[in-house]
Amino acid sequence: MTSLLSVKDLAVEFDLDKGALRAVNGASLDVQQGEIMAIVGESGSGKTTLAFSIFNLVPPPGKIVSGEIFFDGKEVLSLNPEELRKYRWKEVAMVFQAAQNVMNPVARIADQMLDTAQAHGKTSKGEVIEHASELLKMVRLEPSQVLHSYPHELSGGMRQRVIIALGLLLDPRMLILDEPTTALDVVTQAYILDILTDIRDKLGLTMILLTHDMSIVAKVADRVGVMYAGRIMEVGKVEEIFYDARHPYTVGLIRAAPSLIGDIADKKAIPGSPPDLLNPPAGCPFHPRCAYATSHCAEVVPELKDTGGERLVACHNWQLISGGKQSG
Amino acid sequence: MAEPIIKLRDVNIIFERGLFLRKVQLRAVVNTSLDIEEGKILALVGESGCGKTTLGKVMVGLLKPSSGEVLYKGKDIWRMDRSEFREYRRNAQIVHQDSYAALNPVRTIYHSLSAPFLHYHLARNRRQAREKVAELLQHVGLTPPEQFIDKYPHQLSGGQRQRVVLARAVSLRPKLIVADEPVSMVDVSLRLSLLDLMHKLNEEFGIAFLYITHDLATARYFVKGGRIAVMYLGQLVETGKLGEIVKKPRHPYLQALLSAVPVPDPKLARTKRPLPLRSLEFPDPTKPPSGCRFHPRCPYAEDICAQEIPTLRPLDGRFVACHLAERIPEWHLL
Repeated sequence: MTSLLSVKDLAVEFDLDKGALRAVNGASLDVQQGEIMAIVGESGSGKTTLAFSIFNLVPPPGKIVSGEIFFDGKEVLSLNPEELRKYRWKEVAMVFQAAQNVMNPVARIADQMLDTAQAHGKTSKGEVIEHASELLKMVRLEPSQVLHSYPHELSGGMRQRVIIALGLLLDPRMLILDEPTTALDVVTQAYILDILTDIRDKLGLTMILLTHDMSIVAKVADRVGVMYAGRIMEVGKVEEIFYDARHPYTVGLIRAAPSLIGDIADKKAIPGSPPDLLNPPAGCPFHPRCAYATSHCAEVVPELKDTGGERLVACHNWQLISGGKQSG
Repeated sequence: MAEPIIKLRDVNIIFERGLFLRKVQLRAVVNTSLDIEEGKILALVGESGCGKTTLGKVMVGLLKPSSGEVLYKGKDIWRMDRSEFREYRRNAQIVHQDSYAALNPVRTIYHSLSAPFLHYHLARNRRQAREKVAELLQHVGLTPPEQFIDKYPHQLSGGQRQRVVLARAVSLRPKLIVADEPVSMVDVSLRLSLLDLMHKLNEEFGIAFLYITHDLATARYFVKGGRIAVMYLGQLVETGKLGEIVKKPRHPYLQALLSAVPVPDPKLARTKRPLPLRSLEFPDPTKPPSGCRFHPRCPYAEDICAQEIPTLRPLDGRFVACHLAERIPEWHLL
């Protein structure tokens, strides 16, 4: 299988007054054409920084200190400004976290669509509006009504769907969504997740979905990358991750996710706290919270290795892990 | 049966904005009655804007209802004399969502936690106050206490800070704690440990909890055998034992809500189908729909639903506010 996106050994550092903070620390990831890849991690795991890196838009004082990112064979980090302008939005689009709250309040939706298209060289007004209408229908909005509205006239869920349509306006091949449903109520959330799956099926679009919520992962992801302290800890198909987890952190995350179904007694928090990234533990970053940790784990960082069948795991003791097996 | 520690009787809260002709009224809570028995747990669940936080504030006396009664141990708190009211406020504590905002950033943990003891003269001197604070930190799992007592809030993680806030809430051994979204800003790997802690405080000290949340899954984890009350646009729509209500909800709103909650299991998550509503959009709360406030979105609504306000009535071992509860199709979680 060929990857549309390939991140190799990426490290991103933020130079802060208190010292250097490695938000992404040697992360590697492959995303296949047409899949929904979920990156799941807690706050501070580096998932948003990873996404900004893929967009080559790491905000200062952060900078990419090492690693490579290939999109369809092209090295993203060495693109010149003109190439980068084409790469962003035409190849890869991003729906930023809480983007529905930062739309231009004094521009109608139609104008926001036109601005975006014109900034990227599409000047035919009629064509842009026609395309925008198709996309709005795809996110189940009524174009005749929405195009003439101002953002404040729409609900949060409607605005988020407009933002998704806006991301698709230049027909990108990949869409990155950062916590796309976080501020929305569950009924709207379910609706938007359904729309995302729908868009993937209709357009064959590749998506990266960043979230902290294992339930959202279970609902929409094809494959999952689990991130902790700036590293990818495990990668696998969604069923493999949930029914045969091989990294203790993945097992812990599944067990810590409350559910409406199943035995409450099986649920448990992960002991300890997420690491201080200014002062990260030596060896495996998860070892202070890990029940399987040995002295080796405190010294040597485990590499992300193929444990068979493209199941990537970064754990010295993965063979001891019995998995996050659940009812289903 | 245990005596209710707190009783709300036909509580209405009306917020007003603007002047004269442009005056806008928002009825945040409408004719709501709710009890919490001594030492018991109740989850108050609803989406943002439904009035659940407002109702929580009413329970701890931070907000006076526009009409209706709030009874603490059978006595109306807004007719109490000073010393009675003081006693009630001491026994009804609140924990907010944002632990960072709840703690004074320039005060150490000792400073923040010793204040209630010194205010109520429960510690004779600083040494005694320090001992009491150390004991408190142990109760909330911040051990060894010496490692935390002289720190400032920013030096703790979000989970640890929320433990400090809980410590402060239990320091006077209240009868009731209203916990408003206490874990929604805490890292997902740690949320359950905070809910476990609240459960432990409930069991050890017999403190009743009102757990306010939008998250039915954490409510199920925390409440265990306790009760749930579900709110929509200022009104209670269904109340009763959480276990039974979650398995087989009778109100169409709750059915829709439960059908939309994702579950952390890919096979189940993909077979679960959201119940379609007639509209996804929340109505403007300043212009609430007539009759049942849910009727414009309800897939089963009939004429009566737009005309008459349904009240909670007993059905199938719980209380439901729906005219059609007996007639609509049954819905099961699995």
